[in-house]
Amino acid sequence: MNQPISHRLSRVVLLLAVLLPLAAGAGALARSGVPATVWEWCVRFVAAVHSHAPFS
Amino acid sequence: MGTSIVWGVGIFLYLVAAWAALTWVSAPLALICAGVGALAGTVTALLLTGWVFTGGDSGVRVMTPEQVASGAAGGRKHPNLPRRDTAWAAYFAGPVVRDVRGVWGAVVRVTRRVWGFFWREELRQIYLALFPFTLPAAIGLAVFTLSGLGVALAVTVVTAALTTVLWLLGGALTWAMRGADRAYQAIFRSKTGCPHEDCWYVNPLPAYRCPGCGQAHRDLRPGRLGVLWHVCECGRRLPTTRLRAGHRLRPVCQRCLRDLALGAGKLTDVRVPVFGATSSGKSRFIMAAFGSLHLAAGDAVEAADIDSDRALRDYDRDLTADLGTAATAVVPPKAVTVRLRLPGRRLNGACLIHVFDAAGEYSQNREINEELSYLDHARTLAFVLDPFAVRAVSEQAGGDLLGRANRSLHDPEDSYAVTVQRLQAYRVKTHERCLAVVVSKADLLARMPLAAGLVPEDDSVRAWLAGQGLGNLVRMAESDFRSVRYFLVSSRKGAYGSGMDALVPLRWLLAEDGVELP
Ligand SMILES: Nc1nc2c(ncn2[C@@H]2O[C@H](COP(=O)(O)OP(=O)(O)OP(=O)(O)O)[C@@H](O)[C@H]2O)c(=O)[nH]1
Ligand SMILES: [Mg+2]
Ligand SMILES: [Zn+2]
Ligand SMILES: [Zn+2]
Repeated sequence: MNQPISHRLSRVVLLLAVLLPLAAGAGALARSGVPATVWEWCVRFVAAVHSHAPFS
Repeated sequence: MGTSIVWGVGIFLYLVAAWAALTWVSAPLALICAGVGALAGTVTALLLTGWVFTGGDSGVRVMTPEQVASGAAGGRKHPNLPRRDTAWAAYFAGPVVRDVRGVWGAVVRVTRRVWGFFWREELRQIYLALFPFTLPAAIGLAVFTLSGLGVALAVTVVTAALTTVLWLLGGALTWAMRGADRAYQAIFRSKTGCPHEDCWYVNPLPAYRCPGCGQAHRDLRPGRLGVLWHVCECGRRLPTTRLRAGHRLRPVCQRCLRDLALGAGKLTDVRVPVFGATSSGKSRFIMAAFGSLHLAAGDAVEAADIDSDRALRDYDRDLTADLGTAATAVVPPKAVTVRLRLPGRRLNGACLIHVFDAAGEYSQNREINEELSYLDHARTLAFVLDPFAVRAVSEQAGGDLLGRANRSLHDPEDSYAVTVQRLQAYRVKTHERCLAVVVSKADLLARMPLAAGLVPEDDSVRAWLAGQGLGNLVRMAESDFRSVRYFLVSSRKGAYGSGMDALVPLRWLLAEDGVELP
């Protein structure tokens, strides 16, 4: 039993409605520099852990 | 004693090693694992979404027309009918929910599998022993899981938003289209009467047959099965609303599923029952009325179905040959239906006229009169009265004239009362209806001195009837009905165009129902 074409079309539209904003969001996030900042914090955290380690 | 020292030293060394591993390996590794987990979770969930939406997941069950019929897309319960037509639900009114559920299902399933792969029975002890190295992996898996669920949540939110917007738009459109459809029906009085014997149901909304597979769709209104179109089980697109389905699909009666005339439900629908005693001239009057209608309207009038076509041909033959009319069989009648184009109208430029001709026995016998439910749903009725059934007339008329008149032997007042009392017993508001009182056989009546001065006009006929002892009938009719008119009719071919033309009462009845004949 074949589903109506309108169902397929609706799904494609829905998929685009999910993917496009997601891609746009990811792009904006990358450009905003937030990930880089977060990464820096993480590196600093690791460094802090190391500097307090008993064997250092 | 010695073993416990060995154990103590061992545990100490292990803790020191674990501490070292935690600081030097786990902390940086956890960061990397989290990053990889986030990326992998997102990509996996997106791929799964795409897979589900392109129909790859056989676990997502398609909402089939059968499921819709049994209530998968909602719908009111009827005692003997399916919840909805066997058609596809509109995507955003059902299937979309299954797809979103499918996305969640796929994400959860894959995540479980990944966890299950790592958290195997035989590896658990080792993982626990090597916990500083396991920890980053666990963090990675947790992030993987969270991002997968996050994507599923995003899909749900976006879908919900889009669905809400479409429901608002679709709802508004549905409301407007249904409203327009109903307003049109009310203005043009297009509820359609089933012409078929023993049904005669007046359909507010006809069912329509799918031209592809013949299935009858009982509710082709905009709604959850589609706003502009419904899609039949067989894949055909069917336009919604009576207005759009009207001329494109074959309407059928909701009650008996027999065919209705093309355009039924959209065209103005006039139902004219004709009643009166046996041999009073009903059938003949109907023949003459259709004959004159044909002469007056020409090609604008046509039979609406095969049976009506045959009936009209027979009528024409009998009228032309001036044959005596045979008594109508005592069976529940099928209406003779014609479609009449009304060039004067811009909207809805046609109407359907159903004329019901039951044998006179039905007007003389209360028991069988009950069967004729079409009487209850007509806005206009015609009562045929044979003047030769009136005592004064039959006494004066010679044997020759009485023989030619093939007169009715039943009391006109009684035949009127049987039908009208039936209507009132069924709580039909007769005072909202119109009645044409047709005095038949005028050509023969005109030869009698008793009819001198009788002319085919309302007042004259009324006064004449009252003068012949039918004053009581006149009073009853006028108190029972909103509007009563009296006509003098000769149902012979030559009467066309004269005041005694059978078209005169029909024209009045149609005008009372909003249809102006050309
Ligand atoms: N001359 C003349 N004869 C008529 C006229 N109307 C009816 N008749 C005759 O009267 C007789 C009865 O007419 P029908 O039309 O069959 O009567 P009916 O009311 O249909 O009778 P049932 O079907 O038995 O109830 C027939 O012989 C007709 O030919 C008329 O206007 N002029
Ligand atoms: Mg008859
Ligand atoms: Zn079909
Ligand atoms: Zn029917």
